[in-house]
Amino acid sequence: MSPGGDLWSDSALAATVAESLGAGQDSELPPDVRFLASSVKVVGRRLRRPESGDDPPHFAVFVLKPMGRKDPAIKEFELVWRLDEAATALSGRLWLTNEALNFGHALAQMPAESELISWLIDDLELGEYPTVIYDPTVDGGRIRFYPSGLMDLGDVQTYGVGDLHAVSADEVKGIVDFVVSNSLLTPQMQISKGSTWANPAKYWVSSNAEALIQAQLRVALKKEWPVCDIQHEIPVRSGRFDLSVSFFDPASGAWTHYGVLELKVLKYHSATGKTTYGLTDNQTAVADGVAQAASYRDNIGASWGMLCCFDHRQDADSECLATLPANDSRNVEVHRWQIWNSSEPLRASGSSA
Amino acid sequence: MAPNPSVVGVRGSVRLLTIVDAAEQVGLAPVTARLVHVAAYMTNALSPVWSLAPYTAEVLKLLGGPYDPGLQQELDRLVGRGLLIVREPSYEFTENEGWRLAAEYELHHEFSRPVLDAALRYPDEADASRVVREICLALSGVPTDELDDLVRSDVSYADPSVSPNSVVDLFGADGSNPSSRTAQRFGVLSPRGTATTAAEEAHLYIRHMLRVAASGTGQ
Repeated sequence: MSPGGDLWSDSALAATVAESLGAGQDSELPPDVRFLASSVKVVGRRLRRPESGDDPPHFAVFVLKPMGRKDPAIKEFELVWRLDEAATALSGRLWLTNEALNFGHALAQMPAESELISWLIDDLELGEYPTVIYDPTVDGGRIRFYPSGLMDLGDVQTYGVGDLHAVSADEVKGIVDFVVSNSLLTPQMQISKGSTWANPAKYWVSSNAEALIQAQLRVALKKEWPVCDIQHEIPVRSGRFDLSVSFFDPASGAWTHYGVLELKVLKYHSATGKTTYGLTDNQTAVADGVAQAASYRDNIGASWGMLCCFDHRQDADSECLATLPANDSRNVEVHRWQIWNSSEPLRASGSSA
Repeated sequence: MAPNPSVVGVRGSVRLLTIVDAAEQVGLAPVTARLVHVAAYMTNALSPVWSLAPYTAEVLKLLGGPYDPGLQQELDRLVGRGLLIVREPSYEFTENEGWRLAAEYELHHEFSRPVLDAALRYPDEADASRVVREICLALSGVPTDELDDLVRSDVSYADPSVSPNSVVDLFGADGSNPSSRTAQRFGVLSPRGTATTAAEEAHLYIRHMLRVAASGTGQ
């Protein structure tokens, strides 16, 4: 028997879900991206509360700098528990918090907006921490995210509050283009501890290359659409999809699934070089990928399906896509990105991406 | 084959350093001994939500909340080795054990960081460290002075069939325990359905414990 009787009944648990839905989300993202997502969510949640109409029309500043409970630097701050539930006004305050916004130290005495940045950087020495600024006064509300902190004002991403639109396959392809050209294109661009190459000189590909690419795409997609859920490896009727871009409406409890991405790493050699793959193997992988993307898309009722091929082969070309039928009724977008084993052939190819 | 005691010892030390590190990073400093015991207990109770076995499967149920003397000894040992710094030592009175040492702990980063970095190269330790961080994040939403009430409302700990000074079993035959099973109910009840992650279940469980504790009916 459960202690406390009805307090542990399903209806009592459901009440907690209703009040705290969102707690613990995005745990697999890096802290700064999770902080962005949490900040965007808390602003939306606050705006859905009827009493938010009385909130002051001033900036809310969130800084990813959780402070200890007894830190003398926060003597003047008010401690607010479960900030993510948005039970208190956010605007007109500086919030020092962690990536889950489980609590926040709030300071209400902020200077005029013209002095805000210098106050945060020079007076409070908060310029190097990821920062989100919510401005409720323009265009129905804007959110600016400074992942490197306010010291680098040029590194900023802006989002409209409630600016939700159907995320298209074209937009997602643009993000994959960006990730490939900035983080995957050559071994030198990749993180050494998480390279898709086991031995680039020999074209040996890491056994977890797909997982590494998936992790990078998840972060990039979330940064672009922080209100969206970037789900991964979720089981559906016909298998388990690699990635999806979806939106969960907490007010209605309804999901909108924009699209599904199926990822394939094309290669000639395994991580140890002991197994080799021919053109036919790669063509089969592509054909399977198209079938998977179509089926997962239909399983969850998404608008589009996309197969993303990350081609690690020497002399890679689009022949691996050649066996796909023309005017395929499954209507899956198929894209191939070449991942080079060093900078030299990339330069020789004259390609920038 | 019985586990190698020296490996068990190293893993225990790493687990404690991980707790103190995560607690500092999420804003739970100063990290009191009480907090370490509560975080260790909740990590053990909720590890099965991540399909991980609890590090300590059996915990002695005390009236004042979980207190593991072995863990406390290990904390003291880490201070002696210079990996933790101890501050504000004092004594606190407990009904069960009388007076015991209370203190705040801080990571000695210069010495501890290489140990943590080395441990995180092992996938098991990296997984465990992620769980510890999530538990500390969830606990960061709990007022410090409510930690004891919180744990006393935990389904496993408050089970009336387990009397004080008996053992709370956190690793049942199926690898779960009442706390982890209740946490997993949130995955069923959440409108997010299969998208609900282990971390969400754990956070929601701790939020719920807080509400139960606030109602004053936790044992």
